[in-house]
Amino acid sequence: MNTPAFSTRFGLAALGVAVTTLAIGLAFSNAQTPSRPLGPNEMAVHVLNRLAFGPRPGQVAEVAQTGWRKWVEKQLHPESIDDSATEQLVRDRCPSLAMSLTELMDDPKDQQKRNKIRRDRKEELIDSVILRAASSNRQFQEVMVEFWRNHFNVDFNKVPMLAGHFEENVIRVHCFGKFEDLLLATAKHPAMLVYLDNSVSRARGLNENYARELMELHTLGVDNGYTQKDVVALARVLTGWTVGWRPGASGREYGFVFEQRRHDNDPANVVGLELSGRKGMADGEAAIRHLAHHEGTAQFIVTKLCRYLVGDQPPQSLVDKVVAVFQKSGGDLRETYRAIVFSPEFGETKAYRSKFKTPFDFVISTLRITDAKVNASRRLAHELRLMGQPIYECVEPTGYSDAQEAWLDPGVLVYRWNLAIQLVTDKLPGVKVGSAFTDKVLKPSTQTGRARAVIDQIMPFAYDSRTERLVSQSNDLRTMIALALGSPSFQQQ
Amino acid sequence: MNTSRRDFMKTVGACTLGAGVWNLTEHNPLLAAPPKAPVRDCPTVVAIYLRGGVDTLSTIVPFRDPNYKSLRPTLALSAPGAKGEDATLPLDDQFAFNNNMKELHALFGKGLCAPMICVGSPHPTRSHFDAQDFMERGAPGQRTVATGWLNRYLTETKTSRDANLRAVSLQSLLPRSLRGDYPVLAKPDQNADLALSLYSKIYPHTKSGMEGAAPAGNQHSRQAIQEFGARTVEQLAELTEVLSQPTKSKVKYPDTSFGRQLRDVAKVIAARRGLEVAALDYGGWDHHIDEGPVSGQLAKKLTDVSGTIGAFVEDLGPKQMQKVLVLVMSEFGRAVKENGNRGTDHGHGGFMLAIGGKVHGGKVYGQWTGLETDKLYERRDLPVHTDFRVAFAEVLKGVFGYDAIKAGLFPNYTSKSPPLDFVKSA
Repeated sequence: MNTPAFSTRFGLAALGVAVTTLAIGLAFSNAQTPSRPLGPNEMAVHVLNRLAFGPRPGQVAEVAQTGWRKWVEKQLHPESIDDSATEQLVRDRCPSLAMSLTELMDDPKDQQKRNKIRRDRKEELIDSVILRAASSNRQFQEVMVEFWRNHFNVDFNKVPMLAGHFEENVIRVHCFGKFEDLLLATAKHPAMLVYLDNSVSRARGLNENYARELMELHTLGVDNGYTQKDVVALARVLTGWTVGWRPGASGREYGFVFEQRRHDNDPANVVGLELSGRKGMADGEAAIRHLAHHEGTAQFIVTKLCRYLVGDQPPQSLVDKVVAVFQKSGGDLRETYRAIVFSPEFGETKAYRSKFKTPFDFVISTLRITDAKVNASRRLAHELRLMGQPIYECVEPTGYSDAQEAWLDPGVLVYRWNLAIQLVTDKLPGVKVGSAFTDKVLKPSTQTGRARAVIDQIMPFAYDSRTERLVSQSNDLRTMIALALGSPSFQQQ
Repeated sequence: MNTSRRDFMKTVGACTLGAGVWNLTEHNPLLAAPPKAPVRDCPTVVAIYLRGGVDTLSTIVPFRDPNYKSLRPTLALSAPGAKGEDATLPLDDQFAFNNNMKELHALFGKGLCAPMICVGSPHPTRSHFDAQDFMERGAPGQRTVATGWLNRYLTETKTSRDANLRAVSLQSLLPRSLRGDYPVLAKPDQNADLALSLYSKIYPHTKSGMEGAAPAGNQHSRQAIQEFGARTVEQLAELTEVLSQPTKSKVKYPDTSFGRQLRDVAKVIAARRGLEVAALDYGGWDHHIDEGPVSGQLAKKLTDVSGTIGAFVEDLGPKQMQKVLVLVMSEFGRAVKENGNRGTDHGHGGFMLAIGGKVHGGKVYGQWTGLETDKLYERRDLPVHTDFRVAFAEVLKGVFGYDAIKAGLFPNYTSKSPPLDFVKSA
């Protein structure tokens, strides 16, 4: 695949395109260039930036050669991609992810032991998130897991024993299925019930927290066709949806429980759906299904997906088209993703490198392009905390934003710059630059050649001549790499 | 380690050490010679945002209200002078501070603290995120306004001679009130010398704009990154210099991150580098379960806020505090009736606190109509009698002499709220 001849060809092609476009760009420097469809090389960069957490060394060339459509099509069927190596690694390093709710909750009474377990669970969960995002072959799945992880945010610190199980058994299981199933699975998972307080809501002691967020954040979106009356009605319908222990086949089992005693049996109207109040849990399920299929939900979810995958201000024309697909397919998420990523709006220059990487995107894309081996992710978790995006610790139920305005402030770039410097100077404990990357940048024998290789790998088709010039002027490979990783272009995806 | 990795570290190692670019002073004039920062005395606003919706009724307690105790069977606090640790601290014949706000109570006694009740948004949302956005952008209900009210003030009044440290936030992520076109530094909590020396080349201070042609559509994005990077380099160099000066102050702040942040704000003010606006976030006030106003969750947080602001006022001293105004706010108050979990759900009307020599303190501001169900907003929450923009405008007018209403800083502002007049004139 990576024959020297191909690399050279690719390198030359990249240089050629960059130079040509630079000339064109200068000629029309003040004119508003209309958006045009992306070329095949740009498209390879684009899908790897958006539908993966950035390219691995040489991967842009590979995808450009096999054709981006083929790559995307395969990624839309993650089950068809072998990912046994990463999954084995996760099984070995993060055993708590495979545990049942009962095993997870059956923790020792001793406070010190509990604290240790809690710390271990957190490390395992964070480790698994970083490992999979950085090295899974099912990159698009990881990108969508990150989306839903934020959409259905739970804060580890409130549900320490349950967050990992939630990701493993709810988000990962349903993120290519039907939205309705995903939503119901979140509603019945102890992590969500505890995180948003529904587990303590009773007919005589109502807690509105979950009902509100279920409409505001999970389905309709804020101010989108519901009122405070609906919030209270839904909270009443969902009373009794709680967690607890009950007798099972082999002793006590922990999990979701519907408790009739706590349930409010009054009739209710939730966003236009009349409920008799006599059907117990089925009323709640009906209300949630009703919300899942609401027109407002289709609008809200699709707009959010388009923002995530296409750009911070997605064209309404695209949203409308995709809403139609979402509704026609009964909320089929795979079909919805497909409609977005094969749309002309996705593959335009307007969308190209137009999104500012979140801290998570930046860290993971850095690990991927440098082929970094992560033996311990503790330090990376700390860096993400400093950047304002600690994994599984978003206190607000909104989850983290993926919009540029949420992350671009003076000051935040310093953490990214420091991370780049630490990585190239081998000062990031537990993380080492890997040979797939070093092979590529050490192959050329001249400094000029190496600078070219650094640019081709880290900022392919970025048309960022200032950084390219500074990288080429440097006589030090580590500096070249750090400059490229900290450049404006590498902050974009 | 495989061969190529060893080669890599060897190659890079050999040509790196001592190479110019890693030298701290060579490429960064800002670090080589500290920036020429003129001594600038100017008034300062410190905006503190308590995120999550602080419970007004457990903070500024209407102890005389006949309905208060029945609405709050487990949460109600006792009147001033009562026995027990929940006895509140009197402000006037109706209101008292939570017993954990001793320092703020003392400032109130000295006329340096002005509490305001039933302040909030004219928008009915009970969503944290909307309420915060609307408030921090000074534009309730207007989703198209994406910039913060403090940032707009900075943008509208900017000059070519603006101090690098005209506005800062001592936290790694900028509060929304400071987001916008005016580049404001969010201080990273890491040493940045090496990064500044390396990246000042890629992010030079230049008005020339972008080099190279990005494909259509994303120029704006890269341009923005470029500009924010350049500002980072400049502002951070100066802030680092100011904060690394040995401290002269003997005042002890609470050992909390809020305490440390406000201590740093005091340091920047004391250095007289032209700081006009500082803003801080303080999260975790969303107490749906076990609110704990006496010694629990809420109590601990109020203790921290009160102790830290008390230390800040002492640290700057009366002379400097004449020019400083601290404004404490939250997105909304909470439902007047406690919920089934000894906590409170999202409500509507809230409160603010203003502290400093600039305020007419010692008096509780705002209209109070009691806790009768008929007087409540939607029969469940404190009403909003004063639009928060009234308070914001009075702060900008009193501190900077800037007429925000006349300047149109709050888009589509038509509020009929009466003035509070809690700030002395500029």
